[in-house]
Amino acid sequence: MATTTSDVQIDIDAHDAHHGPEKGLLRWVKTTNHKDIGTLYLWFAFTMLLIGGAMAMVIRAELFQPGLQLVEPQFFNQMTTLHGLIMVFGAIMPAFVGLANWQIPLMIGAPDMALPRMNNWSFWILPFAGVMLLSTLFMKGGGPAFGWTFYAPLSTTFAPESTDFFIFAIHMLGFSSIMGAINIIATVMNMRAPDMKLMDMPLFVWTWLITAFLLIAAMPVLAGAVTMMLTDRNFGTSFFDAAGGGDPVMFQHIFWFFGHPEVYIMILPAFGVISQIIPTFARKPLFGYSSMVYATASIALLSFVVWAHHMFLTGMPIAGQMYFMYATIMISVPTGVKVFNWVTTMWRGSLTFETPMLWAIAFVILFTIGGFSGLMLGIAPADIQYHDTYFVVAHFHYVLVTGALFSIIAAVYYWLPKWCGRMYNEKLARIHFWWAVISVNVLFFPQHFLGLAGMPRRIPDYATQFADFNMISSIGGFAFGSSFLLLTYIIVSCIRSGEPIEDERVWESAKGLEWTVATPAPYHTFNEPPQKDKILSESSHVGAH
Amino acid sequence: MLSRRCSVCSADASSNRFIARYTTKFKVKSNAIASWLLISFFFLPLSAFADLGFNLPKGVTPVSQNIYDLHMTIFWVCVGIAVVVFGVMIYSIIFHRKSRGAKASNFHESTAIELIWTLIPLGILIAIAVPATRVLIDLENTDKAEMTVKITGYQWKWQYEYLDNGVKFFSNLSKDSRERSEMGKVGDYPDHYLQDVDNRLVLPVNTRIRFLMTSNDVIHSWWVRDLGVKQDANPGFINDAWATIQKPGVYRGQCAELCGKDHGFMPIVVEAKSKEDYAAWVKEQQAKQKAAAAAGDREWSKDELMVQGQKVYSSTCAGCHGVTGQGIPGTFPAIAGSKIATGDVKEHINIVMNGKAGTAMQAFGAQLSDSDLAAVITYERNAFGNNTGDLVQPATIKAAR
Amino acid sequence: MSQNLTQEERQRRGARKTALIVAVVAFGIFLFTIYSTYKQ
Repeated sequence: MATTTSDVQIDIDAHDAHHGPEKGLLRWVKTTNHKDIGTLYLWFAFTMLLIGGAMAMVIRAELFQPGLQLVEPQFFNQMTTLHGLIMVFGAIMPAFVGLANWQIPLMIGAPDMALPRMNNWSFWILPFAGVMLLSTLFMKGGGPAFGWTFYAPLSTTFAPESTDFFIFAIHMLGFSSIMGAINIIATVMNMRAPDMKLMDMPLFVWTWLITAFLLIAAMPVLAGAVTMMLTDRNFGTSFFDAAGGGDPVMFQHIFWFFGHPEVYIMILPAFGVISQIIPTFARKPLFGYSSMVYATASIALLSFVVWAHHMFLTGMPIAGQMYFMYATIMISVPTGVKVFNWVTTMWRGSLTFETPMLWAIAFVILFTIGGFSGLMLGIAPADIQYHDTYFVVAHFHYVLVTGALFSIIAAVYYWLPKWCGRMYNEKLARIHFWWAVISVNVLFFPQHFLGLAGMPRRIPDYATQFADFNMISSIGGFAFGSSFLLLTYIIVSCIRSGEPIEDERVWESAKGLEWTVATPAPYHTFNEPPQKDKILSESSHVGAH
Repeated sequence: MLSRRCSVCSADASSNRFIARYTTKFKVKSNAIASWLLISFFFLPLSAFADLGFNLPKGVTPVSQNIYDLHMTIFWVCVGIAVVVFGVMIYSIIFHRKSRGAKASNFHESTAIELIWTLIPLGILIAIAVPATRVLIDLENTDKAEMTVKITGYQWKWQYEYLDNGVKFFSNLSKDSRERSEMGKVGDYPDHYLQDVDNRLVLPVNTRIRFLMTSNDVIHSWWVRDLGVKQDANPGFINDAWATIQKPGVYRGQCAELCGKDHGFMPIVVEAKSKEDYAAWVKEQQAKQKAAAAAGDREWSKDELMVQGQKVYSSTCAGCHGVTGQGIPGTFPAIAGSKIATGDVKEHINIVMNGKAGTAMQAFGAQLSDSDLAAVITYERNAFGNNTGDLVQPATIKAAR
Repeated sequence: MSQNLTQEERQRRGARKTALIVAVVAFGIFLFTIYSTYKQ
């Protein structure tokens, strides 16, 4: 597929197969097709999810009871570090980029992404970065063991030699993200069907557009931080070394200036997914479409002015603590608006509970619980007792696992039938849902208690009063981890031998341009942009237009 | 199993006793795991009650009590919001389902409603922010301190310096915790496993104490929950916090900022005494420090050096080089059979006193007394099968300074 | 059909311009991060 879609003008009916994909493995290396690249992203993310999950299993196994049974503390720290990095940069972010690649052109009536060749490049950087990151485990002195936040000077003066490889891997991952974001911005801004206005766009497209701007603003800051780490380590600078006139706390400011928008990068597309799914199964337009857009935008803006709430204990002046506390708890206002809108969308709907809807409802409830603990953490004086404990671990796993990851699973159940033209096994999918949703709470809910009871995070061994809840949490962890084996089976068997579906719509009352193309989605779609009346009638958020 | 757990839960204030008993007797019975799981979850809704050990303790300082009250306020606010939001949602899930014949309405926007649910949360937030600000101002005010303790984080121990009376010492993980935390150890856990130290930080009650935190290497964080104090210790910078302990007792905590391999093994134990007992303790420490300085002036026998050396080794060196001197291949060199510990004595003394740049090996010359240095070097040269027969005297160390 | 092609070509040209601007902004943020830390 070295041709771009503009060369396909003779292909009058895109549903015909004679301009389909190339045969063989090289198809995947050379592809510039947004659907192929979306698939690549999603499989890469899934692979990394399983690797990162395996590391989580090592962590939970070691924490099953007090004492050291399985791994040395140094290796334990490598596991927590790589688990975090892989889940953030290898699983959640690429999964959302994969969903964006598949869905954005379909949802805005564009033939492909704006820059297909760059799209290929931004994917193919990822596997190399991932392998490089993982290879540090086998180097002398072990892999990075300083937490995914890699605070200096633990990550500079006191870090193993492999840290330089870690830095290079982060650079590559960041490069890939920035290129992906550029592509999404250019696609959404310039490639929409000519009759689609910005406020006609589905919410998933909106949230991704805003996310892409966050990426553009945040990832270069991370690149700057690791570059300065690199020069501190190897070229005698001392950006973060107090002995040379630098400041280790400055590192944290820079890191969290990236890091806080980063957590919204991982959750805004999730908001988009949920805003697509709930109206479909409530058979009702999304409530408060424009307020959803404004809420997303204000969350994004606020995310740049709250970073130091991760740093209340670094010795910030009191005025700084007050400002960051007020700004932080302000974020719960637009986030609350989103939750209220979802609940109101369900209110007096005609609800059915197919698997995507189950995941979406679980998302709303569990993400909100994560939001509550986030509000508690935002209160500066209370944060003294919560900071760096398992309370924080529980908080961010509620927003990232039962938040971001659940929305990705919901999205896959929702759109997979469209992508491959086959239905997943609904019965197994329900079993999977209940298995995962119960075990994930057994896994993470007791961690709130552990944190309040005084257990710090990132420790391989703990005092005996933490034993009960750790054991419960580990059992939940093993159950949750094994649920992904079932998910793998459900997805693979759906793609290979699921019941074929012909219906373009797939779900009874799904709305959106993606449901107007054939099922399974043909290799090329929307060579002709959709017309205005179609765009409006497919709008999932406007009722009587 | 079942009845034991229940009796504990219904006995309100006995949970601390229970934990203490459980700590010493903790053993896993695999067939009991399932019932533990079931029973523990049955009691999850009770989590709001501090005396069950699920929650923050009230603590023993004004700051910790203020934080506790604040924590409970936000908690109940969250519970209130959750009841409303989830209530509406669950009602909808039950009554607005298609299988019950619910027909979908078509309403999809209302500026008035959007405004209401923007403004009400805003009001709630302001109501939370007011007491939060008050607590914050109070805990950040470290003026009018009656005494000051400087706390320095090291990989992986704490140093305490009483700036008012010159008492100064290191506080390491206790020996029995260190030994139990060796890889693959089984058996009973020692009391206060991983939350016990060799030298406690002794403080007087009803005294406004200022803490100064800093670090010698990476970032640490000094945290004692019951005092309501957690503050990062940054290398090259000094932070402060304060506490007025209202009740004598022993309060435990540990490092809260990932600081490398033994981050989980640098506990903090504060012992709060009456003012008189504290004054007596200070006298005792000053006398001890004088005696230790004097000990450096005399000749030590090999037995004395070896006994003292083992003590110093297990508190100071064993964290990296291992209790049996084997180190960790690729990360921390072994002492057993090492070139330094069996080669030139001068080089050995040099590396222990001045450390090795670019590695985790610190300059212990600044941390240990002459006699402790002499003892530990002698120990390393004669233990773990090194058998060099060398004796290092405190006088040699003194000369090397 | 050909009109449609021009339409798409026009879109792609606009997209390339957008991409270039965004990329320059990203690089600017990168440089500014290091510069402002250095000035500290």
